[in-house]
Order: sequence, then C-alpha cells, then structure tokens
Amino acid sequence: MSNIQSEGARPESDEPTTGVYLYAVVPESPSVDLGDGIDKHHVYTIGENSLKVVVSDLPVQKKLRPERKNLAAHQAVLSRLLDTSPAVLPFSFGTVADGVDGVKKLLASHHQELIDQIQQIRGETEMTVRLTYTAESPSMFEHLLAQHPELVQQRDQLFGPGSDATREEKIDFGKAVETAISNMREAYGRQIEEALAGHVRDVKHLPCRKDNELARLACLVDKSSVAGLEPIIQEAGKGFDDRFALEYAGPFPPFDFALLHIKAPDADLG
Amino acid sequence: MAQVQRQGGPSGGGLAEVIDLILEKGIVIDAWVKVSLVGIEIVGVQARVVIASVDTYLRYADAVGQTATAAMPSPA
Repeated sequence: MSNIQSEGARPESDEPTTGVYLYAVVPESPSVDLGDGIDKHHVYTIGENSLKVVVSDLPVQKKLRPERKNLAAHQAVLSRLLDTSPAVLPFSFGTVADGVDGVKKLLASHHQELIDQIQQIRGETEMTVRLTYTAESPSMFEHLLAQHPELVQQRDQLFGPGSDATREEKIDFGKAVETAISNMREAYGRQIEEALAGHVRDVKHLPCRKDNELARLACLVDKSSVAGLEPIIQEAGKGFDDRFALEYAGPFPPFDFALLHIKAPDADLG
Repeated sequence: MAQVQRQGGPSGGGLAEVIDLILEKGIVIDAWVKVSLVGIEIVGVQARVVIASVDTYLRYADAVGQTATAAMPSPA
C-alpha cells in the first residue's frame, strides 16, 4: 500500500495539516448525530445547500490501512447514514482530503455530476444476490458437462486412456470450457434477474470470483421494497435445485451504482 | 430447491459482506492528479477477480480431465 501525497502543492499556511476523511455525499445534513468514525474522530458534514460531504478529521500524515477496525468504522458511519438519509453516495474506503477547503472545491467542481448521481439513488439501497454451486458430487464441472456432450467427447479424446494431450490442446479445450462456464453464468444471472424483475430498480451483473460462483448480482432496490424482496428471493431459489445456494446480503449504500471516478480539484496548480 | 439464506445480520449485512464494496466500489478520487486530496491506494484487491488467462484455461482443462478419471469404470 502506498500513501501518495503531492508535495509542494499545499497553500502556504502554518497550520498543522488536518486531513478530512470522506465517507459519503448526501443531499442534506443528517438529522441525527452520526457518532464517531475512523480513529474515533467525530463525524460532521461539509457543504452548502443540496450537497453535503460526511467526513471526520484525520491527520493526513497518518497511514490508513484497510484493517478491520478501520473498515468497520467506515461501514458503521455508512450504515447509520443509510438509516437516516434519503440518499447516500458512498466514497471508496481510504479517501482523505487535506482540508475542508479541498472538500468544498470538490463539491464546487463536480456539483452537477454529484447532484445527478444523488438523484439516481435517492431512496434506493443496494442488495447483493449470489448463486453458488455447493454440491461436491456431481461437481460443478460434471454439472457443466451434463449440458455439453461435445465437451465430454473432447475430454475423452484428450484425457482418455493412452492419450497424451499437448499444452496447446489443453489450452484450446480450457477455452471451450471457459466459454461454456461463461454462458452458464450468463444464463443463471438472467434467470435470477427475471425472477426479481419488477421488484428491483436496476441490476448489475458482477464478475464471479470463484469457480463455483455462478452469478453475482448487485440490485438497486427502493428502501420501501427491501422487506418485500426477501420472499421474492426465496421464490427465485425454487428455480434451482439443492445443488445450489442462493445467498443475499444488504441493504448497503448503493456502491455498485455510485461508480464516479473524479479528478481531485487542481485549480491551485494553474 | 436451492438453499436460500441471508448473509450477515438482518439489520443490513455484516462487515464481511460489505468489505468488497467498501474497498472496490464507490466514488474514487483520482490519486494521480490530486492536489488538495490525498488518495490512499489499496493494492491487491483487483487480483481476486478471476480473470480468464492461459492459467485459467489449463486449470479448467485439468479440472474437467479429472472428471474423466472419476467417470471411468474401475478395472474389473
């Protein structure tokens, strides 16, 4: 991990550099006290009118590691915000501004972008849904082969008695397997999406990260629909037999629907 | 029917479920052009996504190859 700071670009000042740790952008100041955040610094907001940034102080020199304590503190603030704010546009973990002015500049220079994003996620939360293949026998690969007789045939040619597959042959075969897995994942993802249709505002299909993970969906859900979604997910589970597990989590701030990548304000540099 | 279960608590998910989101998603401030903002780079997170590569193809080929051994009738 590196802690990248730009040198020589700070405004001339004798004040100690108090950094500001960023949690989220919200449309109005929270009505409740948000308690403490990272390093037990009190959480407050910066900004005017329709955009506020939820922050807490943090010395910029401090190295902030993605350790459990810090992640938990970040999540706790977001969780309290989600309960009380009409829209929560979260920052990625570890975003530190080197002062209140920097945050104000950020708001000013990206005002419209942030307003647009806030509008899109107003009243929304994120739920994630994940399909995994859990049976050991038949294995996930056996399950795949059952739907692809052509792969069985190729397998028997390459790995049957007396055969000696070359590296190139194996790579070509592996590609065919990969294509089949991708198609299977796409089909399962679509099946889940269709089962949830009408109950979610938007769906994003996320890349799977393990062989036996067959679908990972981020769903944008109205806050008022969260409770009603659970029986729908239960129902979606009936579309799969007991070799599968369908897990869901949330509500979270809509991270997967807040993928702004913005440049820090650099007006001072000229 | 597939086993359907909620991860984390009913109050909004435990830390484990949200860590990936916190680390990988959300608003990102570009750390390279920042002046008044200091970005802290988290390395090694992206590596967890399974990316199709020659290694993946070979792994898949071997995994499927092993199903042949399993499916073959044992010698009498």
